Amino acid sequence: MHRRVIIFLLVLPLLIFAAIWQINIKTDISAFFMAGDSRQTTLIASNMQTGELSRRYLITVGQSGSDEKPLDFIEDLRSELSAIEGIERVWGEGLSEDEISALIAFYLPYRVHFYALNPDVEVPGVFSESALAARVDAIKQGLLSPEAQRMKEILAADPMFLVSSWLRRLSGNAPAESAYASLVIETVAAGLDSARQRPVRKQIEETFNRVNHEYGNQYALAMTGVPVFAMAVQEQVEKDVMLVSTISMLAMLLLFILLFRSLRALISVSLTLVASATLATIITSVVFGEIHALTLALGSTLIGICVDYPIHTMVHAAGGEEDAPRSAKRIWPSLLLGAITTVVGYAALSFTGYPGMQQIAVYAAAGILTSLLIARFVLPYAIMHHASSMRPGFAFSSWLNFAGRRNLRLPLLIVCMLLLFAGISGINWQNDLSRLSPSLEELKENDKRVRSRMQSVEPGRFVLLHADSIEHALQLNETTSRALEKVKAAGKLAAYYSVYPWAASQALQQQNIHLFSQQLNSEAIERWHAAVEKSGIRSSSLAEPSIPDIAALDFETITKSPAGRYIAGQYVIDDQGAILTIWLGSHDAQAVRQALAAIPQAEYVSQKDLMNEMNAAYSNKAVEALAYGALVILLLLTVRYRSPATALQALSPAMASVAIVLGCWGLSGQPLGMLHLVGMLLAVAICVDYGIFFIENRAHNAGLTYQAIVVSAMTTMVAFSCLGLAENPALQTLAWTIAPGVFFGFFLCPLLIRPKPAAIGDMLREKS
Amino acid sequence: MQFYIKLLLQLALIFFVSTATAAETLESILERAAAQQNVAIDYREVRHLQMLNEPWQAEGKMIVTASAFVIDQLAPQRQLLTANKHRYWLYMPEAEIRRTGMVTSPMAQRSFGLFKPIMNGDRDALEKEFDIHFTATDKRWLLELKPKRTGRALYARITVQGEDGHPASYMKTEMVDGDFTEWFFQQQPFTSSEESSVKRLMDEARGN
Repeated sequence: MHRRVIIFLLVLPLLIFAAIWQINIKTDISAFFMAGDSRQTTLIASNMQTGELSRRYLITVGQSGSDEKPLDFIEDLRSELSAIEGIERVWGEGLSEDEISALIAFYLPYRVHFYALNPDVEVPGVFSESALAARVDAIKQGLLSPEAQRMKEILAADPMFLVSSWLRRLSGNAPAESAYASLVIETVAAGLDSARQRPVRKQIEETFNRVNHEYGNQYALAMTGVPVFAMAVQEQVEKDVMLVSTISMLAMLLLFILLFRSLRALISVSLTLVASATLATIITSVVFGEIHALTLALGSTLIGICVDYPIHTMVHAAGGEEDAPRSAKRIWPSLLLGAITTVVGYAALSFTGYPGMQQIAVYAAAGILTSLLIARFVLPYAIMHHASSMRPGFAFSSWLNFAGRRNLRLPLLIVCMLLLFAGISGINWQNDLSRLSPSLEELKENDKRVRSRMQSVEPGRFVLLHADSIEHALQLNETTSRALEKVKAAGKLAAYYSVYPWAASQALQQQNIHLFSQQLNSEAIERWHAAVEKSGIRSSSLAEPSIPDIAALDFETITKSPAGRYIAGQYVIDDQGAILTIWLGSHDAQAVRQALAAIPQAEYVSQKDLMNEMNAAYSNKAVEALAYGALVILLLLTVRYRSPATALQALSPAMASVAIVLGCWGLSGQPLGMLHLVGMLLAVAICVDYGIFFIENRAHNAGLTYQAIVVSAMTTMVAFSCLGLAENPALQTLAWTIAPGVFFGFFLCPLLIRPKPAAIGDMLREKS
Repeated sequence: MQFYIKLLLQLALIFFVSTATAAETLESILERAAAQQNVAIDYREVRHLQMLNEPWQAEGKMIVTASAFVIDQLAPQRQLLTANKHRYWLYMPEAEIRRTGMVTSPMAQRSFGLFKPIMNGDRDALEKEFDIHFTATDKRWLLELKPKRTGRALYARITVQGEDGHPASYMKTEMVDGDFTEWFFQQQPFTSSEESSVKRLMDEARGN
């Protein structure tokens, strides 16, 4: 055995061990497709991936045929769930007594600072006789209610019960009318960390079953949330990876046995592919710190490309007159150029902006170059004594002879162009990224059902406020809240959840203090005493109204207070300033947009629209990448052949293939997206190889060259067709774009390229 | 708040469903209390708050069943308080206020914890929480409960009185801060009308 082969066989297990040891697989679809190049998209992307909202399960419990909320059950369930390890907190539709007490204790000293959202309007009216009478009545009602004890405690610090204003704002969003009781369960682990979420979810379900058993199994549980979707997506991706990898391996195995009928050939090529995939995994993991499962799934299709180089080496070694190393050396320039053009195609992907595509580009480049180097420097020495037994079992000579006897180049190009023009007007372009997500219809229906039973924010639609500081952001939040109050009053917004009344700007707090100071004079205090006495309350039992002499409450203190958890996830503060989010309940989008029109820094965001805008931007970049990729490949070929005409001829099968496939897509009316473009780019990169191999015809034997092209094209088509078996629409799109593209690319080669007896390779050699 | 509910309703259970006699002991009252299911009472409440110039009076109806407590205050303003074993609901129609909470919440737990032994007739547990004085003369009987751990108690003392051979007609709850409330009770027959009222009032308090 040649020493190169021995070294290869020794190093390969070490590489496999290294890959297994350091691999970190990620399955989150949004991480694959979203990174965000603005603060806004970064906020959304990070919220989707690790944000507090992403860590929540929403559950509802109800009884079939009953309109009574199972409040007792839900409280028992809540206390049981709170004890589960991995669950941060659990809460229901309202605040508990303890939570209310803690909040009152915190905000009581700031009752004047937080009194009104519109101090100019609200504060002057506080000391009118009618307002004071109403206030005293409320106090008396409190004293005579079952909440008398709490009222007495509040009055000891706040004789005018001003904190009621803050409490009223807090309970401004009424819970939804529903026969279902609900809980929000916040987990410690990120919502997309399915490995850690799975046991938590299992415990939630087990706990529900246990408590439900105690209640006679009369209740049904419905659950939704990012972790639920993430787990379903992961299961689907894992299933896809397993399915695609297994079927594609088996299909390749079968194809190989049918074509070569040689176990040695199969082992040789398999080891080449294993080495390529292993090194590609290691390099990708090192570069990105992790590798996405979709990269591995798409990467498995690289088998179809990487296999080209060992196949060409084997076919030429088996069919040529030279030994394997010499034969490999002869075709090396063609393989190298083909590999470079393919890598250029994949490299162009990284400029589309999709984070996942950057991974795929690195993975592909590493895999292709590894396969190429093995095909040139190791494989020939492994097969040199057995090459003749690896001759393919068939030749595609009939088609080659048929095409060779006819000059159909021009008519064919015209037909391709006509097809393209016929189809291009019908191309249905769409930027809806959700179509790339796994089709989880059942989960989506369940999600809609669960959310409709809860007073919940509308997923994916909210208001984003940008400012250069948290103070300005809070002021903006107050302006926006005033605008949203009007929309709510008009019945076009069920609820909104801003950081107010939890947090108020320094300016608003100072304004409240200032206006109270103006109003709280001796006359006002006299009117207050009179109103108190008139109601039958002893004014001497209450402290004198006064304004607490304390500094305004700052945002950081609030975030660390009992109120902090209610606004967590609604703000981002960094060097560039602050972003606040206002979650919206069910609403009329047009009314909200109109209300915000006059507030330039308040932006109504539809996450879906935003993602689609990002996708549109990616698509534009993909078009550019496609154009630049094709241009770079053309330049490379032009430099290589020192003739633009020859370069165009080498490119013609790829171009004709793209024209046919695009034309057919257009005529079919099927919606096209970003991934179709990506698929086209890859098809071009692969088909250019066939053009190069065929036009260079380095073996001086067009039949042998085309035989190698056919074999490698068949393996490529099989590999990409296997992607079509996946449930993931992204993988299906790639399958049904690349496989037909490759078919037309190799099929049209003999029609579009006429290799001469003195092939291009020899001409180049002579020139040099 | 739950303290009120539990206090009133559980004491009502004990003292209105039973007919005490001078010869009776606390145990015999507790035993009979557990056996009773349904009680309907007309009540008058007089609150003596230090913050008010005059005592405040209210009146209404209490209904107690095995699974529900209802206090329907009819005057001077309507105020409906209902509870089951787990949860209470408060509804103040004029002010359009609704509240709900668990009777197992910390404050309710404290009160429930104190009175549960009474419900169960567990004298040992009762004595763990209260100093108990039960006295009876030819004409009247009197039960006095004083929390042992005064640091966390809302009430300084609870006294319940009744005439010999009759259920309790008077109760006084004295708060730690000096405020106190007097309750005057008149037991009524529990009819099917009361039974249907319970469901209606429970639904009303819940907002159904």
